[in-house]
Amino acid sequence: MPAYDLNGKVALVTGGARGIGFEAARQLHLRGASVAVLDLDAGEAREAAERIGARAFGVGADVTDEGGMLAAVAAVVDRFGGLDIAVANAGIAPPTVTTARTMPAEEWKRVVDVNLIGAWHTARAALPQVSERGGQIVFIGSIYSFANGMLASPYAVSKAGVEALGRALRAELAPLGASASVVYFGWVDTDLVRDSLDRRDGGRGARILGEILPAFLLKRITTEAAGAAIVRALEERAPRSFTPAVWRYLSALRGLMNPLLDRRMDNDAAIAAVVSEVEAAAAERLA
Amino acid sequence: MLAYDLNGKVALVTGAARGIGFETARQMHLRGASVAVLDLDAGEAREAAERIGSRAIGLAGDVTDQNAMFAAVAEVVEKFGGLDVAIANAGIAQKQFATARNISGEEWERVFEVDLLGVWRTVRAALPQIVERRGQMIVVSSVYAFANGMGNTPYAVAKAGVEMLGRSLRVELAPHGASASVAYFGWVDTRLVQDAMDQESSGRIKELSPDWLLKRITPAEAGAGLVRGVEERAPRIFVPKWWRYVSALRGIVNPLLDRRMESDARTRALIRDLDAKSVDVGPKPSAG
Repeated sequence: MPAYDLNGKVALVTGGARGIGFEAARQLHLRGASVAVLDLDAGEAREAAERIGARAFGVGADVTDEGGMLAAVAAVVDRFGGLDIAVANAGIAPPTVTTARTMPAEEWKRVVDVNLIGAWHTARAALPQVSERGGQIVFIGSIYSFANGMLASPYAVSKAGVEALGRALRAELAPLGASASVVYFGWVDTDLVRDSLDRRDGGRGARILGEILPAFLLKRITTEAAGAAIVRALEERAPRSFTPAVWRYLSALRGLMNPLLDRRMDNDAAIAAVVSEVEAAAAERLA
Repeated sequence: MLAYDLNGKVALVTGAARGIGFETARQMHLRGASVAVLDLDAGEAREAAERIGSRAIGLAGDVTDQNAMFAAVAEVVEKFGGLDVAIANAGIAQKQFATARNISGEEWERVFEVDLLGVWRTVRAALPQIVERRGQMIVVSSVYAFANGMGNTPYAVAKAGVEMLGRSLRVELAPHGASASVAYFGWVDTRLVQDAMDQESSGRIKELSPDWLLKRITPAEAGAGLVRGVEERAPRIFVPKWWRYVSALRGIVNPLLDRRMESDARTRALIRDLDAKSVDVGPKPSAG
């Protein structure tokens, strides 16, 4: 018997049309929850909801628009009579793998807007319902919440912020019988990861990571496994969950290991070569 | 022999009319650096520069305005011939402790805008010079980068992001012979902290923490720690220093402390208080 039974609950999943969000919504529905699939494109959201089943409906909304998120939550409440669970999953990666110095400023800020401010808007819109119903908010952290964000700084900055938000909210919700969780993923086989690592710039991202990380830290999990991790975290009201599980230990040791790993990166010739390479490519794009 | 000699260098400090920023600028000037004191109010910035000495100039600039930051750096370069050290110190706090549920949305985003995006804009404006001159980018974070941000979410979220930005930048700047550092302060006796702690709800926050944890250091001590960190090109600058150990143990200790907060009766009572209270809108600028 899980600590929190999903049967009969109402869940909202942002970025739910594809990838991790879709799988989370689908599996929540399998457990007996009604689900609202929220995505930027209303058509894609509706299509995804149709594939999920009878107790699913699609909502088009932009997480960077607070008013739009309030309206989306109102629509869910109107449709299902309330909201128990919000999964703040919507996220993007920077279009270019490059340094903070050479990334177009709009791209940098856009990633933070969607991943961090978007998670905040989702939480804010859901909080009245979630606190009233002793519900839950799930935030999607990442290994980038604590691993060095070199060449992906807006993503890492936003995921570090999301982690802080989830931890603080969990403390704030405890007296109300509600909770928040941070679910951390390594590499998941999503469009986001495939686009930014395998496709863009001839797969430069994947090659760079292969040069600086050991293979066991690069293993990709499926979106099904990621969705299952979210569902499990909800059933257990877990404060945090790591998939693959090895990252739990790296997170526990972060305070001790990060200073050592960061220093090694400062002096690493392969990383220096990669930084020169991406900065040269960025200069070329500008020219 | 210091790793980095400040004598003859040019430094820009944001949020420098008061508090930690002022003390940092003053002490860098004492070491022989030329300093640009940037603050929201031109008059206050100029006054601070006059108090610091002959190689100091005051600049008005809002860190939430990217063009203003580019213009400020251009002015520093015009006046002093370049820029070696940029200290992204400007920050604000929410007007009073409040839960994420009942803080005003505008106030939350305003704190985030200044404390995280303001640092980012300072970084963007300063980096071309910093890279060219193998200089240093210092971003001011806080122990809130790793302590639980309950009652203070926009600040904690922003400071966690600032820490990550600084760490990432350090790796990216290394091939250029430039560097970035993250500064972490505990409670410093600045207007930011005074405003926050002199409220009724903070009485209860104080009850929850041991005295040694709440001991405030002076802005002069904070500035001295920061200047020492610049001279050492230290990746991390903790003032007081013992926060270094709390940071090192964060991955192990935070899950335990976070769980204790959830079940602690006094913490729960405090949260109920904060939840019940109506909130004034609008943060105050501060030099913390």
